Amino acid sequence: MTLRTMIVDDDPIARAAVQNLCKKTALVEVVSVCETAKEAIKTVNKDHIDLILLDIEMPGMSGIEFLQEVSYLPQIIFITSNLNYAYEAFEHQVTDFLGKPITPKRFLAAIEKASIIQEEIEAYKKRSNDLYIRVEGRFVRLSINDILYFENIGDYVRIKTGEESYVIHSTLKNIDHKLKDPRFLRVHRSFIINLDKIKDIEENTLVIDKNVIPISRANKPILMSRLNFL
Amino acid sequence: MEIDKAYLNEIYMGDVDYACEIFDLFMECGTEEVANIKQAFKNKSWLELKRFAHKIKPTMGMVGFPKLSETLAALEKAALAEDEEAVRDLLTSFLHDFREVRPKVKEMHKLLTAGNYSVFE
Repeated sequence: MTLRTMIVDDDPIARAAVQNLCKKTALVEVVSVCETAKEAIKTVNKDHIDLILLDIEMPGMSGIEFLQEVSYLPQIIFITSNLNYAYEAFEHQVTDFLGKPITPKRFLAAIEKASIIQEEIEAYKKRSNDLYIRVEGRFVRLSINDILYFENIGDYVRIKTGEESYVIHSTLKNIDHKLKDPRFLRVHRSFIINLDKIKDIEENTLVIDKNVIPISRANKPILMSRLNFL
Repeated sequence: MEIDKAYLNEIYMGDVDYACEIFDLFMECGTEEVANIKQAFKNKSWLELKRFAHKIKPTMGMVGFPKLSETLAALEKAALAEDEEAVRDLLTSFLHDFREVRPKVKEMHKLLTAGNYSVFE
């Protein structure tokens, strides 16, 4: 699998070196390059990063401080020319620690390790039948089986279950990206539905638990291809 | 001061484009970083000096002079200890050797772009 990767280093030569090393493996896709840790904090959430190649000594905010500031932490490979940080780095459960300048051999070994860990993370996520959503400052667990559909409402998304309705700050595009479950399908620009919950389908609408949901002309053939017909 | 070819081979593994990009960047930014170190010494800004020395330290290895990385590591330590005398001695030694670096990197770059890969032999 490909790791969506962010590079964070204040030194242009180090950034170029790491970018070049990334080109040597198909396991990495560099989606973001930041010059400061503060810049990285803004990007890490919205870019769905799997791995950060992170320098430690940077002006303003160090790589170690960065770890304490972010609310979402993907895998980290520290890259530094000061090996004295190794102990502290591993205290933060980082994936690996590379000394500068990095040799391709050592770099590729670290990436392979990150890739194996990521596969395990993704396998766990796939096995898990739960989703966590943020509601009024708490993370609430929902069983994916209980979700009827997701509805776009401006900058928010309504998640409808059999019993409840939750509104979260997100987009359907984001949910589409994160929800790698074949039971869910986008049938309209404003709806992602749980195929297991469809009650009936008419020309341009379908019914899920008494709710009538529109089907767009473009999405109808995809919907029909996912269902069994007699 | 000789270029450490074995070290360059370990870093680039014969990847000429990669080496040329780094040499280019070094010629563009390296001198500025060294000027920052000198200025920090003039101002006796030890933490700044340490930071600039730290920043350029791995680059010296990437352009084939890992011995200078070691000098910079010692310079970092001396700056952290605010040992002015040691900083002066190490900086003088570094600047003396550094004068040879840019022309040698330029020459390597020229050879590589001309298809002469003796740098990696």
